[in-house]
Amino acid sequence: MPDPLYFEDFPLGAVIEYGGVDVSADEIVAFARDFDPQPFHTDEEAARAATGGLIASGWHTSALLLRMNCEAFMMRAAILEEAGVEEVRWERPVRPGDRLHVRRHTLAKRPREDRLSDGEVEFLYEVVNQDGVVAMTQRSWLLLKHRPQPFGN
Amino acid sequence: MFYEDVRVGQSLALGEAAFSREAILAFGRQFDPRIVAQAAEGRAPLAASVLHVAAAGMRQLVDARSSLRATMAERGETLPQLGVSPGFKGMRWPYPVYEGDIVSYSMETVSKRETSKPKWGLIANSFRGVNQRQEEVLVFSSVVLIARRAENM
Repeated sequence: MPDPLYFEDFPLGAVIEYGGVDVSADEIVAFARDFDPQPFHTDEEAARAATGGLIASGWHTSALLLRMNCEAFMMRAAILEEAGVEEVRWERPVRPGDRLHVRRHTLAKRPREDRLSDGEVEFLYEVVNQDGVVAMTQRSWLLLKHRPQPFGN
Repeated sequence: MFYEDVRVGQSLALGEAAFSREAILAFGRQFDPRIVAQAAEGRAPLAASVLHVAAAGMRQLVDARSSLRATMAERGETLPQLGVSPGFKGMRWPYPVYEGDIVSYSMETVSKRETSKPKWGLIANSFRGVNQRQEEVLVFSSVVLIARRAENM
């Protein structure tokens, strides 16, 4: 198990890229049948007229962002709490054959005055497709532990 | 439902979703590896991914809207064109959803306004999920484009 990632491991202003998932028509339709069964997500024929072909549910794109975040850092981060999502924007459609990755910005950091052991970090995640187009953005906070200080300093 | 039919302060009960251990794990296998890790550690009860709770609410919204549209179609009324959601704001989840929980979803119209395009209006909704103990498990705000009646054009 690699070392946990602490509050200090996310420098303010840092921009990093990670992830890479291919989105298939079958996955788009399967997700939509479970959670968002609107014709432009489930039916190629109906989608052609409405949205120029199948598009993924925004919630599906959000779920793919979650998976890429978990794999890239959230499994390892010393997260005390996911403190809320400020805003999600589904900017551009995600279509079959798209390959998505994440560009993560560390937007803000605030230590908590009442507790010295942890602090909040605000991230902006951009979900970017193979053409460099931003399909989705999310701004959200994580409450992270500070790196433990060795005694005797 | 058209823009003109929406009343500010109106709350619509959308339906319920049950969260079984199997459903929580199935979502986890696809999108939230933290749940799979918790299950492997023998953690019980399992908590659902917040995105799973939100997506299950979307399903209730789509189903409620479909039955509304079916009723309108039976009456021979014109069906409004569906707008794609641009996103949401301010998502919070005060209580976790555990296996065995049942979540009831509702949506309240907070405000409405016309847009520069005569065909569409903007509706702001507050979307809410409560568990069987009436604890709030999900809340967020969304803005959707909704078609206006043709006679206003």
